[in-house]
Formats: sequence, C-alpha cells, structure tokens
Amino acid sequence: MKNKFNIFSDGLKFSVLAIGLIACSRDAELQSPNLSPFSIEIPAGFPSPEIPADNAMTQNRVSLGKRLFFEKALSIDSSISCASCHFQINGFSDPKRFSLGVGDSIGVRNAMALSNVAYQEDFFWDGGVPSLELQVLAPIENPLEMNFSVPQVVERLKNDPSYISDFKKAYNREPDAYALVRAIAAFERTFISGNSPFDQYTYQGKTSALSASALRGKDIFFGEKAECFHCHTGFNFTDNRFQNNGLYSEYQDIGRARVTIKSSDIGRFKTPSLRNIEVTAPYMHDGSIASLEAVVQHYMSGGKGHPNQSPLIKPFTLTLQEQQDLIAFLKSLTDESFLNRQSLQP
Amino acid sequence: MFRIPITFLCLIFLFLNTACQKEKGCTDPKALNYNPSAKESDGNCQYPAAISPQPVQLNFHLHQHFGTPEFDTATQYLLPSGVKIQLSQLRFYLSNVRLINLDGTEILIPESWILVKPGIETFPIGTVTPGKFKGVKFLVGIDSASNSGGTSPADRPAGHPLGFQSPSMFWSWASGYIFVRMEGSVDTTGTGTPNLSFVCHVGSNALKREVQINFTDTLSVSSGAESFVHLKVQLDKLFDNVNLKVNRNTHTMDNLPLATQIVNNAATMFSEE
Repeated sequence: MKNKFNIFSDGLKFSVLAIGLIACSRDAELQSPNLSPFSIEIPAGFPSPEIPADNAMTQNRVSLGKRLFFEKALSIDSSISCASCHFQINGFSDPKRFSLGVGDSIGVRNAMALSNVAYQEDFFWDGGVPSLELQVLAPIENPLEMNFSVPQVVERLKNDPSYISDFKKAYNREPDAYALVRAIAAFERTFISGNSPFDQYTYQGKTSALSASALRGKDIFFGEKAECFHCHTGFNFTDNRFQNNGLYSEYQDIGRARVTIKSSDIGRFKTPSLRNIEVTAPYMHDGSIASLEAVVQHYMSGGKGHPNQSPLIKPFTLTLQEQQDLIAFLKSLTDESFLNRQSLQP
Repeated sequence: MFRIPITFLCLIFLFLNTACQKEKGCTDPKALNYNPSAKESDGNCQYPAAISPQPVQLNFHLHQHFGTPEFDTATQYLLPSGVKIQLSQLRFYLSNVRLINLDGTEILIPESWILVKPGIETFPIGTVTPGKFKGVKFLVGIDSASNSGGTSPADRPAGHPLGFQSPSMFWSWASGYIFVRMEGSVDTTGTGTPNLSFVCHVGSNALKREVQINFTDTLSVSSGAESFVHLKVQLDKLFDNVNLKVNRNTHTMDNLPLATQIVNNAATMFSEE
C-alpha cells in the first residue's frame, strides 16, 4: 500500500494528506467516538466478565467514568460524589455503619464494597436493580444520598465544555443520562481484585503466600463444620443469591422481600463477596457487626431462628485457635495491589 | 499507517457527494408512479389507496372526572364515604394498547406507552393501519418487558413517556416504573379541611391490570386523518374501598393490600364516552 504513494514528492504528499485531514477530521470526530479498547486484566482463576454489547470498554469511557465517579456535581448541593461513600482503601466500601448523604442525612443500609462488581448480576443488598448501568441512578436520586435528579445532573454537565468534549470522545453524544450511567459502569468494571495472598497461593503457585494459620483457616472455611463455602463460593466468594443468615428473629428491613413482595424473601439479603473483607467493616446489610471476630461468633451461634433462615446456619463450635485461623484465612483475601491501584484514583 | 485510510475515506466522501446528483424519483416498484431510472427516493411515491393504506396516528381522548366535574388539583373533593380530600399529584401509565378487530383478533400498537397527567385530554398512542375495530384493550401500568427488562429512563430520549419525569415515575432502587402515583391530603378529623398527607406509589409487574372497552359503535380508522379513542376516566373510583383516614400510604411493597386495591380500582375507572 505504501508504495502507491511513491509517485508523490514528499512535499506534495504532505500537502495532499494535510488537505485530506482538514477535510475529514471534523466529520470523523462527529461520526465515531474514539473506540480504543480498554482491556481489563483478568486475574488467573477468574472468568471474563460479561460486558453489555452497548457499553464496550474503551479508554475514553473508563476515563469519563472515573471523572464522574469522583464528581461532586452529581449531588444536589455538590457536596458528595460516589467516592464519598466508596473508599478504595476499604475495598470501595464505607467504614461508617450508615453512609452520610447530602446534609449529613443518614442512610439505612451499609454501603456495599465494589470489588469485582463487574461479575455481579443483581445490585444492592436486595438485588432490586439488574445492571451496573441502572444501579447508577439510585444513589443520585435517593433523598438520603445525593438527593438529586439525573436530568439536572446532565444539565450541570452540559454547562462544562470539558464534559461536552469527554462525553463526545467516549460515546459521541452530548452529556446525557444514557452515557452518564454507562461511563460510570465502565469505570466500575475495572474494579477487579484478584491478587490477594489467597490468589497468589491458589493460582500463581506461590506456596508461601499463605501462613500456616491461614491454611488451617482455609480448611475450616471449606469444611463441613463451618459451611462458609456453600454461600461464599466460587472465585468471587459469593453465590450471587439472597440468603437469610439468621441475623434477626424479626426484620425491620425486610430485604429481598421489598423487591419481590414474597414473604419467603423476608430477611434475605445478597450474599456479599468476601474479597477484601478485612477492610470492609462493619459487616452485614445494616453494618451491625463491627469485627470479623464478632461475625464468626454470630455464625457459631446458629442465628436467631427466623422462619426464612438458611438451613446451613446452625450452631457449631470452633476453638479460639480455629477462630483465629479462620479469620487469618479471611484476611488472606485482602488484595493490597487493588486497594492501592493508581488507575482507580482521581 | 493512518494516512491511507483517511485519504480513502475522503474518496468515499467525494463519491457519496457525487451520488447526490443522481436522478431522484419514486423508487418503489409497487407505487403507481414508480420511476425505474430513479436512483434515490424523492419521497413522493403514490399508491393505489386500496392496497397500501398508510398508517395513521391514533390517540386517546380522555376526560378525567372526579365525581361529576372534571378533575383538577385545585379542588377539594368529597368522597362517597364523606371524607374530604385534595390531590396534588395523580398520574398513571397505560400501555400495551391493542385494538380489537371485528373478527375478535387483536392488533398491538407497538411502543404504546402513555403517561396520563391531569389537565391534558389528548395522549398519542401510536400509529395504526386503517380499519374497523370493535373495542380496545390496554394495561393500566407498564408491560413487564418494558418495566423490568433492564431498560430505564436513562435509555429513553427526553420527553419520552418512559423517560425521566418530574415528579419521578421510576423507582431507581428497584428498577421499575410507578404505575400509579397519587399524592394529596385527607381530612381525618371531620373539620372539612384536609389535614394529613397521603402518598400512594403503586407498581411492580404483578400489579399491572388489563382493561377492555367494547365500543357501542364500530371505530372506523381511515387514512389521512388522526383517530381518537374517546374514554371517560372516573378517577374517584380509585378510592373505592380505601379508607384514607387510617390507611394513607403505600410504596407498594410496604403496604401491598392498599396498592392492590388501588390498581384493582384503576381497572374499573374507564368507560366509553
């Protein structure tokens, strides 16, 4: 192909191409967004996440999503962003039991960790939302969180020429709700965490990555006494289902039933992933348990006996050493490289 | 490496420009004035009326009443139970509109989603092929595929019935539309002045309700003109068997009996006009 242009002198070649570029560049910009793909690094032992056909991962989409994730203009008084309740160092969860929204209004459930959110099928503790894109709407509109409306967020972004340019590059659109929710979802799909000591031991052949205590805890975790692995299963340590873990005998917050209107779903909440569990305290849907030690105590107690309580929740005994070993194993799921990854910072 | 495709694109661009000067005319072989040498349609094909009737716009023409008078949000109304109320919001969705042919078969009007608001009478339904119809069916609420199929207001253009609304008609925490949104105040003390607020937001797939209206006279939809389905909406029926004095609020899941009563009532409030 290159030889074809040898008939031009260098100067002529340059002029012709320059004219061509001027003539075409405006058109090309208007007609296609920059689609340089963004490739997610898939850790060993992990499957590839499903990416929606209408939101392929590109550099520009992820960059725009990152900008929006840290954008306080998403809240009514421009006081908080997504990152105000999802801290990277806490696995993108909130160390507060209930996050504070605008005007310090207090939420009703513990902010969920976002590690490996690309693999989730249902969102929120009750699974009321079926996609990561749709999830974006809820915190913006929740009166206890950002207390704003998506069309008003869009109006704000349209007043910022740099956002007009970034939306164009990412989705070839003016700032709008369609691209807003997709960009944030694209950024959140890069929250892949799969390089913990457990992963290094299991998938990377580093036999020294787990301590003797963590290895003993691993056997307890995957054993039939504690039964942890039945629900906290697979590479992401969740069955992606909704379980009643016996936290209460009566539930103020009815959980999954709020979405399905079925009494058999009262007190069921999504099984959270255990990745980075060491840094995502407090625990449970309402953040009512402050430490991993107390979580283990809860499961040993066998639960409070709600009619919907999972039959797997029944009393068992672990020695103090066994409890410490189990917790050592849970802490081996902490992925320092994820908690400090530069590309996830503003 | 990048120079060659750009030059090539420019050539295509030039070629397309040249193409614009090709002969225009009717390019549809089925049309009366089909021009075989036309390369580009000029949008002026003429058809024999009998074989290809053009779809026409169909609308609902709704008269919204509360008791005898027409409904508005400024008036206080006395319910048959003797309780005085005033409504600040009353909006509801209709969807999945089907016209019933004379032989009883049904024609679905695609993408028929209608947000009924106070103070408006004409609501576009969609386009329909001319014909004669003996009735209409529709849902109060949103068809399940559009309600919980993974799309949201963010996927709709501004102004679309399923797009963002103010006040909102979508639950972002449970990804579904609010089928009926009614809010107002009720007199719970008998003083004649509404004193306590009530908020009823009703939705979820299980609570959509089917309505069928049989026309007294056949509806003739003919080409060339918009058509209207005239219905009377008796909004006071929404409060049948509802004791607002003691049962004032539902967001559906937190008070399913009241939500269910409201949609059951909504299914009875339409009649031919």
